[in-house]
Amino acid sequence: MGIRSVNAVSSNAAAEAPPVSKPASGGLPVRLRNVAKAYRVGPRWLPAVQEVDIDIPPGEFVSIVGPSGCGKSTLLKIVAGLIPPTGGEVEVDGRKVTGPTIEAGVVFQRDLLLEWRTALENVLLQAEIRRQPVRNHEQHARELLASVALEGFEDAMPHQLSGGMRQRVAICRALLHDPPLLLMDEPFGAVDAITRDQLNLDLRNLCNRLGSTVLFITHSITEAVFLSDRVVVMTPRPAVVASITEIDLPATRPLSIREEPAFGAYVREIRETFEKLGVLGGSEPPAVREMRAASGRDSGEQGTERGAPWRRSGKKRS
Amino acid sequence: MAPVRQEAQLGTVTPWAPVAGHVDAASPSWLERLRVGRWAPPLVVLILALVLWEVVVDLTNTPSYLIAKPTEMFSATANNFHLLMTQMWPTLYEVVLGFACSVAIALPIAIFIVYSRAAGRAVYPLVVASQVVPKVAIAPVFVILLGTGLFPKLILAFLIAFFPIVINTVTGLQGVDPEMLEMVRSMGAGKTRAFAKVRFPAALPSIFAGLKIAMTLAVVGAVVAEFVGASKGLGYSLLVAQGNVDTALVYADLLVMTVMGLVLYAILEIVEAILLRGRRASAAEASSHYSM
Repeated sequence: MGIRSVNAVSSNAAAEAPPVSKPASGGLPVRLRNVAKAYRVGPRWLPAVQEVDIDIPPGEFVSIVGPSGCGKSTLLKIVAGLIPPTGGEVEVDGRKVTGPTIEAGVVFQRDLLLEWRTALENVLLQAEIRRQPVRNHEQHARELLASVALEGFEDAMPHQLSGGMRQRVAICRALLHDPPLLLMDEPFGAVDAITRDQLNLDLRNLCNRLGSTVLFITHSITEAVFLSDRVVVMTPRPAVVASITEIDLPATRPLSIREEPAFGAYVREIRETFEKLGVLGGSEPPAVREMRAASGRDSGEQGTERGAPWRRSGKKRS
Repeated sequence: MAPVRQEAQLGTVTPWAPVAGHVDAASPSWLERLRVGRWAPPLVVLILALVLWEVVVDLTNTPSYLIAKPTEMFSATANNFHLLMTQMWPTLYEVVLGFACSVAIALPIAIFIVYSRAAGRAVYPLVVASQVVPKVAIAPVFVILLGTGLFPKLILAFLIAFFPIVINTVTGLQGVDPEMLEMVRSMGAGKTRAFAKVRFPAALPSIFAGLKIAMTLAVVGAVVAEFVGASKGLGYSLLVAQGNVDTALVYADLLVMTVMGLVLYAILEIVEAILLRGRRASAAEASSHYSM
């Protein structure tokens, strides 16, 4: 197991954490068991996610990478408790998820800022919805905005901010309640490369400091390796887990770590998994079916891509 | 060349340093939202039209019992100012009360239609279809039923203002980004908080579009009801002036009605500008469903 951020908290937080942060809240363990999701499209069911088993210990940063449209976002929304799985179950902190996982801080693909609120008010929405006195959180909200270089923009309206700035406001909103679990769905997808690097740095540091468990969805292999303790690779839709890679790099990671051989090796390993899946390079996905067959216990009996495996779990439910 | 090592520290690297003045420059105050600059060109056109009207009537020698010139209209207004004001109050009262009733009833109904699938299926199609009924033509029905007092005017103003509010509110409430609702749900918001914090504020521009249409229609409703049967009010005064072939006074009545409607509309615009301050301008006018 790699150096986990939880270990780093004690050394890091004392030394360099600004007076900003409250003491590290620690993370929540997350367990996905046989999670499956299918959508009804016309007369038939299209499986989006199948048989996903992931175990995330407290404080671990796990990234899920996969080709676009493979059901990564679906998986995250299931963990967030926003959509119910059609098979299997998710446990957060040992409890089965049946409604919204309100302990979590969720960052969506789009920033989803409320256009009629200033940046600060958007961050404070988190406190308002939780019916906590806004006054108690205002200082923290200002500090969070400052920590992502948005000092001076507290009173700006969303339409006055650039895409990257808006997304940083959204991240601050997700962090206001010091969530022990962070769920992030391609949060930096719409952000330019330089801003993305900065946000990656900020996020990694923040997680070192807070010790939160993070489930991070991305389609950038480099980003996943840079941020994570473990990287989960998903196959194209219907998605199953293709591989899980432990990232054994130091907890504190400067951007330059990306030029180091160990980093490159991880990236190569994950890229090769994608090539095997036929997502990169080749045209036919030769290994996809095998992997799906191997990961599901008895799925894929017909060789048809859709239908069969999920229909089984549907029966199980009824 | 040695690669530049970027030290990983929160907030130390700030390529996004605040640009001075950026925020202030782009932020529209509620006064700016009223866009005075937009008023000037139509005002000039209006004055030119009045001048043209005056000149054409003068040149064609049209008798003044057929058409009043703007100057005659204005002088009739000034001469009968006291009369017009006493006639204006009942009409204003009907319009404002009818409008208030329609807001008080249309908003809850719209919310009900949005939140109850059964109501959405059963009531909403009827609301939309009933727009085809020429509501002005119902006026005699109410006069027969309710007499010539305040009540039939109130009802007609209410009825005519009701539909645009319902329809625009439903459109606004249903148009909210579903992911926004997911976002607050992930924070633990139930239906009430999601409504108060996201759905209603998101629908406000659309609601105001409906309110503005409703306000102008409420004036139409009240005046038409007065035509059909009344003993006071601007509509009544206009009919009396017509009977007396006091054409200038007919025009003066019209002018007062118009100014009254404009003032009511302007009040709504100001309330809207205050409530929607800071939002991107022009989003408010994006969706408006005209109905009569």
